Amino acid sequence: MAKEARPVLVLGEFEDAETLMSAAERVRDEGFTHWDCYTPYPVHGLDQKMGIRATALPWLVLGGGLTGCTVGFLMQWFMNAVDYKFLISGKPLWSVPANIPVSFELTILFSAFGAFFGMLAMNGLPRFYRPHFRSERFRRATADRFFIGIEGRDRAFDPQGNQDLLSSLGASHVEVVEE
Amino acid sequence: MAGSRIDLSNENMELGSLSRNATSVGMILLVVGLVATLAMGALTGGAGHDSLGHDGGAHGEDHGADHGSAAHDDHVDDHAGEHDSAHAGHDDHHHAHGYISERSWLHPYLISYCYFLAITIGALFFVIIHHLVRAGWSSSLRRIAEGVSQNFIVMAVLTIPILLNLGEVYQWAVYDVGHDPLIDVKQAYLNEGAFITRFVAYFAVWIGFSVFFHRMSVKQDETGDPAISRKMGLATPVAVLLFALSVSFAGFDLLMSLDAHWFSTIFGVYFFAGCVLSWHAFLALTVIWLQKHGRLVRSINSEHLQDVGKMVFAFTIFWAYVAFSQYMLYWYGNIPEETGWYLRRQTTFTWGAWGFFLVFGHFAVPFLFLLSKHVKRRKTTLAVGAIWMLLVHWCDLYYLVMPQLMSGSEFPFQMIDVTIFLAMTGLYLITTAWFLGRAPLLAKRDPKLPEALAFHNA
Repeated sequence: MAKEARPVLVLGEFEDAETLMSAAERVRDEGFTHWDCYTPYPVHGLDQKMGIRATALPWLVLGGGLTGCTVGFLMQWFMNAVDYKFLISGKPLWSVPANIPVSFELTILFSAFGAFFGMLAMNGLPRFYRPHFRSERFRRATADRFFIGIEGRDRAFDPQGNQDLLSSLGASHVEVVEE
Repeated sequence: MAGSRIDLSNENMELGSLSRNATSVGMILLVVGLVATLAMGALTGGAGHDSLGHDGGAHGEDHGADHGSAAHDDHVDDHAGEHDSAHAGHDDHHHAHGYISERSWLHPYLISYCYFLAITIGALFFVIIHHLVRAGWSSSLRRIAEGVSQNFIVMAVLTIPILLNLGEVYQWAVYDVGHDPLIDVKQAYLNEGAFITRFVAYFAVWIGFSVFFHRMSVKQDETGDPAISRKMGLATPVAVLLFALSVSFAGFDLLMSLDAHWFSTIFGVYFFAGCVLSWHAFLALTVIWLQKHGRLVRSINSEHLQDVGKMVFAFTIFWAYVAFSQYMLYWYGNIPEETGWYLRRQTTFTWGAWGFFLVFGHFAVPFLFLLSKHVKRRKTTLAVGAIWMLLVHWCDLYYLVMPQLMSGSEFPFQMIDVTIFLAMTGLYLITTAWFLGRAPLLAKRDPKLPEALAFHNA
């Protein structure tokens, strides 16, 4: 199976966060859409430089919370006042104060579900392989180097041109990762 | 980060002429409030008593202007006499339950007093917690908190009218032993001597720590010595303990003991929640006002405002959490001595509606409003939220105090409730402006200040 080695990724390696920031700004302005920055620690303000729009995740969390609250009340109403009527300390079969703790906890639980699973889904996780892992140098993204990776599915993907661009933006080393 | 260094060389960090603005507004409120209060006292002071069917024509007028000892003694005897007859007549009558049914000028005074005491306590809490956890982000806001917490000296003076007239609002102060076993056993704690002693102790703690932290911080403005920060940090474990005890017991004494028969161990936390909530709302408004007039425009930015907004938001939830915790246990247990307090607030339409208003106005609506980070970062929306919380916090205190004097279904509101509050607002503005004007508005040489300037919400 002589599969053709197709380039799928251009990686640029940067020595420090400030060079990365200014480079990211330029890559954004060049109009790339499928690219990302990789840093050993959270770099404040990088999302603006990259032009990342505000995430819709809070709305998922809100939706999760509202669902949890509704489920909590409905469940208790159905269990206690419909399916298995059981009188507890002379309270009405369905009374709101008694339902609040469970509804509150379910609100939290479903909000957390919304946040956790929403984050996974929107990031496309879990994912076990990315072409980045084929680069030996890329391992330093978890230690002391900053990377910009331009992916093959970007319309402006052009291994040679992209490498030149990243070099001109201060990348100390550039490479092409093949499939 | 190197990229976000902020230059403070041109920062305006003196209150300066703004002090005059605040003082003149405060003066107007104080004078209008005082004049109106005195006029109300003469015009409507007796109305509340008549509607309750008491024979107290002369002493209704005395409330407004003169609290002479003769009139006061009459009132006490009068009241005690009625206890016996009411008690003998029908047991479910309210006299046996440990509160005073006659309206006094001290009821609205107590509400206003607790309101501003709460803000001052919240300011001290801000300072203590800042040092306790070695916070960075709040360094640029801390001097404002230190300045506002100096108001304890004023609050101590404002306590004196309460301490001199305890019998006006607290039945335990005019109580005859033998009517109510629960009040009988509380006599060792709820008596005038012990009450006054406790308030001396509370204010010793509050004034002591607020002056200590302010002095040290101002000293650091000159020397920039990091040892001062360490010294303040070392004082905080003791400070936070004494603070928690004093605030909790002050809540018991000032508000819970209005119903001497009743008790709730979480009540101090409820009071504390209101303190921290109203303080952060007050802080947000103060910062917005200062920045509107060109003060601290670089050292405080939307990141800090967002965090102050988060605290308002968090303590809106915390208040609801504590309020509901107290409510649900008593509702579920359904024991007469525990439910009495809520029964008074649920059996009449007005207080029932007031309670629902607090559920929505003090929790549900502000919760949804303050949920978004954009609301907390924008000055206009944050100001709307802060003003709203300051208004509903007054409604909350009104709900704690006023149902205690209801004998029936009538609503006790009188204009004096507003006028006394206005007068105290005026006084608080004047003294706050004075305390803020005594030192720069920024702890400019605090070693943690650069951390606050570089602060970003993730």
